[in-house]
Amino acid sequence: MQDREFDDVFRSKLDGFEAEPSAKVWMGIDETLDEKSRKKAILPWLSIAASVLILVSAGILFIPKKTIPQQGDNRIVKAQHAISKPKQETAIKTPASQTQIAAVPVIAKPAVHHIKKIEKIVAPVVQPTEVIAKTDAPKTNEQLVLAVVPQKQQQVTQPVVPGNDTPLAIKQTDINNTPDQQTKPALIAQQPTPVTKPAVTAPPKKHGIRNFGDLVNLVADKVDRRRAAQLNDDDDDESVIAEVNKGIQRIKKEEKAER
Amino acid sequence: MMFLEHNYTIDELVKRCRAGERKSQGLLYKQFASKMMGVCLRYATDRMEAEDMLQNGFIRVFQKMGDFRGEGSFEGWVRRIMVHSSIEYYRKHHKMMQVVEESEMDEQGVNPVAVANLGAKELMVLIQKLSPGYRIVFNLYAIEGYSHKEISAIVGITEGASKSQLSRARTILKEQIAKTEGKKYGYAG
Repeated sequence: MQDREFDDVFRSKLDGFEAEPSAKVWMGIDETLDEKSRKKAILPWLSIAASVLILVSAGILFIPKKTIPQQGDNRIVKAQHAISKPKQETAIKTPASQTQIAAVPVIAKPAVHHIKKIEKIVAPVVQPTEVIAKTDAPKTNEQLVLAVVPQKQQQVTQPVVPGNDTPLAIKQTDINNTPDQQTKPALIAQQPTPVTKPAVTAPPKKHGIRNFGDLVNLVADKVDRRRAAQLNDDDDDESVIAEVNKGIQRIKKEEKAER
Repeated sequence: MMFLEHNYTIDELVKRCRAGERKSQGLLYKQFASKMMGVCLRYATDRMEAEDMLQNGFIRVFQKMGDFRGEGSFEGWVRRIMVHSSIEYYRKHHKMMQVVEESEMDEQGVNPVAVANLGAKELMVLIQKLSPGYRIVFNLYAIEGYSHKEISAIVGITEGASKSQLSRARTILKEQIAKTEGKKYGYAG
């Protein structure tokens, strides 16, 4: 018998051979397909969760720096609105003030650049202005508006309008000092320095922890103080001991002298 | 066009399976399960092995459904996957090419009528008794119709090895047939 004939017998009889598989075969297929589709369904969610985690952790690290300039920008926008209102009022009052106010927006613009550059300094100031603006709210809208106006305007308004406007201006200084302090040394010269310094140190104490950095600073600060206090105590103890020693020495000297 | 339950054509069913519709996958499985079980049985030692091969093969069919470009029949594509899955099964289970060195067997002249009289089930049993290496080569060459070159590529052996394994497989089969033939007619060798 030829090999080919032999193979043909097998082929013809087995090629169309059929047999019913048991039901567990499909069950196994169904299960594994379910598992794989479940994995496929979970994977995108996992990746989304992971990316959200990364974003949040990145946000904790970077957003404090990045969002604050935005708040600063908002302030600047408000300031520009504010400038427009006093313009109308003062223009009617005196011709001299017109020229001075005309200069205001020009001065205000460089202030904007300064704020952008010194982001960190702006940071603590943003909230104080808001808080004080709220407390002053019952008075007038102008106050709110003026509270935001950069300080150069005060230089302008103080000589022109006597009495009534000045107290307002002083209030503003308390509120607004911090951003301009470093940008405008001229102002610091005008105003008494003891008034401005507490304004700088006050915000972090009042507003406590706003981010992780603040928390770290607070803890570090407290630890430092405690350590300083302990050191002082130690010094005191030592000094006491020294005094006691001195006393003993004196007594001994006196005893020697008596002898 | 072949029509199935709910009057789905194979093409339509394939489309639905690609979309991951489990119901359609079940229908497709029903359509081909018995035929493909017949294929897997030829490569397996027993039903258990054949069912494992069938399950793995169908999982691969559903996963690779997107690769089917409609060139040639879908059944042929599924069949090829079953064959590959069966060979893969032996690769995984390290049974692949356990060539049992058997003592030199004398070429036996087999009565053609005796072979032709054997039923499909008897032939299947004969193939399943072969060692995996012989079985795979014999199946690929004699029944699937692959050339030795193709077999060497699929299985990962040389063409020479494929040829020698084929002739060994034939010899063993003929021997077995002669034995059963002898038993049938009363003068067992």
